[in-house]
Amino acid sequence: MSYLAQRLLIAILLVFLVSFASFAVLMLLPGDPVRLMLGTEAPPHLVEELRAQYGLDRPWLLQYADWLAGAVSGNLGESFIYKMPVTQIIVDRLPMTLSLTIFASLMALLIALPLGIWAAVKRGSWVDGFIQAVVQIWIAIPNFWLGILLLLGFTVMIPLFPPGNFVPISEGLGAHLHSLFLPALTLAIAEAAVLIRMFRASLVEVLNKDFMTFAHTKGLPTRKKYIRYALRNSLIGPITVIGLQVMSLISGVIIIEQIFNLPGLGRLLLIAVQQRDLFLLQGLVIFITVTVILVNLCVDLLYTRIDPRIQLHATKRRTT
Amino acid sequence: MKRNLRMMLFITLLTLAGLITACGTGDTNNNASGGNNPVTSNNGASSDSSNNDNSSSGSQSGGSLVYAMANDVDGLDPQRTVSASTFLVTHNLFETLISVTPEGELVPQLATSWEPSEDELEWTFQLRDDAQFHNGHVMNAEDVIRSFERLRAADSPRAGEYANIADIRANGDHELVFTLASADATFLSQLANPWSAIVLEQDGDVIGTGPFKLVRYEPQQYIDLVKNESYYEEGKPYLDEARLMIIPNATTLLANLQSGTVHIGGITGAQLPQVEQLSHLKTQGAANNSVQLMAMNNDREPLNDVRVRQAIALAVNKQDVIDGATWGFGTPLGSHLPPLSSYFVDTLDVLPYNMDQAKELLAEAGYADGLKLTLSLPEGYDTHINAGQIIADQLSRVGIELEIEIVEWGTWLEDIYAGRNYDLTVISHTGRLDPHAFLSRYLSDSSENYFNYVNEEVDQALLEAAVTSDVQKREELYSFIQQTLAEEVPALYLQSMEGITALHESVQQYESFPIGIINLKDVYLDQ
Repeated sequence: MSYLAQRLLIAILLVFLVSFASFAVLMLLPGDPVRLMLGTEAPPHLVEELRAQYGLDRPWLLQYADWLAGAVSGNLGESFIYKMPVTQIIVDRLPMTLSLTIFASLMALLIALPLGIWAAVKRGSWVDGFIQAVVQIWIAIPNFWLGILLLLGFTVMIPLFPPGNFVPISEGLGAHLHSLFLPALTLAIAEAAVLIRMFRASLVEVLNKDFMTFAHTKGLPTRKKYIRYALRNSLIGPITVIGLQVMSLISGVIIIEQIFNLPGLGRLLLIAVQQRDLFLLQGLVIFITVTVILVNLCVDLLYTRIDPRIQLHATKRRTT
Repeated sequence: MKRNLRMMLFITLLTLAGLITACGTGDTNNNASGGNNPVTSNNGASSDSSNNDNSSSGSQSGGSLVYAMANDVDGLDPQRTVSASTFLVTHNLFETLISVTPEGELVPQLATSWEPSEDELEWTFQLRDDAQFHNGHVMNAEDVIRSFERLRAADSPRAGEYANIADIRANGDHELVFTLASADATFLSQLANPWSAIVLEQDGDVIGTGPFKLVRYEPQQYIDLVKNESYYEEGKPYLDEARLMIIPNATTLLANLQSGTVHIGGITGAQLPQVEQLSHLKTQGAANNSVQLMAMNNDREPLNDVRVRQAIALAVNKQDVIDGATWGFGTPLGSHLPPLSSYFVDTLDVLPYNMDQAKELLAEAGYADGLKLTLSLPEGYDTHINAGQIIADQLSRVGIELEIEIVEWGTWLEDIYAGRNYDLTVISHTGRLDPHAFLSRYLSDSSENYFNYVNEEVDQALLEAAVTSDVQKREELYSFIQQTLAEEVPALYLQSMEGITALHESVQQYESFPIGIINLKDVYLDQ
């Protein structure tokens, strides 16, 4: 069996297990979607009526089996609160969250790459110290707090950006990015901090290698020395981190979308949990699981392109 | 050392942030009517609003209003949806036979008048002949009948509430006769509930006769409404367009209010000082027909002893709770009806704040050495959490120690409200128009009686009041019930809270309603 096939098989098993676990947890958690919809002023008969209408009065294993049967054929069920197919809701919200995460990642990379390299090249100097201090602060700042700060700072005091008015990409790329700038920046700061550290650490390690001393003594031009030899050899670490960052981005997005009032998957997830919207939450969990698995797979495949010494085998577990 | 440096940097940043927010209050009004208003005219039809002053009281036509709501709707069919936020919106798209004033009075809407028969089983309604559905169809008696049939259909979640209506028949195009199975004092106010809206089915959707038409609903983002040009009230609505923006986060809402992108939004007491500093915003408080209380589990020891419950009531200074939890926006209560109700009686003097008496009662009940209870508070409801903390502090002075636990809202509803597994909890109830809707939860066998309160006399009074339409008799019964609740304290009644709304200075004639609706047809913008 090829490496890829094995990975995909594990992935499918994983998705199944996750779907079961999340369904079970949601069922064991106290909280009833009908009660949540109705609040405390519900006429008693209305609660029963709606529970029956949504099929919530049946044993939960049966509900799961029904859901699974649908999911296998691509039908993830219907949301209680939006009364729309879950897949359609996810597809509707996806572009916004995708834009935000890509924008944030690019921003983080743009901030991190030069600063990381600079710190590594000037290691031990005051520049290095300063950048390291900044990184410490950026990591320490909770993103919900930074988000509120940026929101108040740049929409109210200095009104450079609209406060929480999302502009879809169909109304122009410029306006779209403009409306996403602050949330993306909030997400990017924490991510950039981690990346700067990674870039610096792995570059410092490479710069101390014998072949760099050799390149130096051979009198190679600085730019060639750093970019062709040092940078390329120091990219593997950071790329792993970028893979891991996708997960932290997803969790960041949940908070950021709430603060900046963005209609994306993160906010949808929160609503689904709060309202116990069973099928919507299931759909989102599946979607996030699949995304994380795919990103990790891509990262693994990328290694081989950057470092031909790494071979992917079906039988042997990779070590990083 | 390094750790200290990090701390210091963080603190410096925090202080800076404080400074930044403190400075930002002065000059925000120059962009109040700035260019980034999200509602754009969708056609060139709306004329310049400045010279459009054709109504009597100086009300101006035209303009776009942005209203912020905290929660998304669960659909826009008033007969098939259940969440409170939905009715906030649908009330502007659909109308009911009977409407309600901000003071809670029933007034004509799609019905112009109504008359009961001698035995109050037959009610004859005269209908408007000039109300048009949004597709131009003029509403007649048959439409109203179809609408009620839809409300009472098997797949309607509300069917049970209208089961008492035995028959509806048309008497000509604009006269309607309801026949009730039994006399029902709540019948008229039922017709004013937002889900009693008169709807017309069209292509699997429903349309109404309301002052605004639906343009677009973007889930989690906004609902756009546009003026109904053929609305029957002369000159109304004043606004050309309205956008209802869904903004769940309080800080985001404040930023939107500050920058002028939102005209109307509900704020918390904590935000009030900030809003008051902004010259382009004004605030308005309004009784929202609510009862905040600390429910007690009347089944559990020691709360099953009425003396313990009375001691708790005596030991709490309600005004302190109101000042601390809702910044003084509230009226103290002695029983379970808000002052807005026409059946309200003042029962505050039944158990007035008196610590000595509280201690005596506790000693009498055998708890001279104090006792311990758990107070469960719903997460996310700051008003209730704050109130709970103040109560805990006050009760500790008479020897009652409360252990506070914060419970997630879904869990609260399931375990505490439906499951009745608790000692004490703080919550508020918003009522409908009729006292029966407020008080029926005190029926011994009601599934909403999470107090586990049992009193046969109260049961009888409640059942009798529900079918009597003799106003005087009802007044007597509801007065008795309120008095009994005040004396037996199944719950500690705290206050009727006021909602605080922040408005842009240009917004005129905005009023708050006691049944959880907003009414945009009377609102206009001073330009």
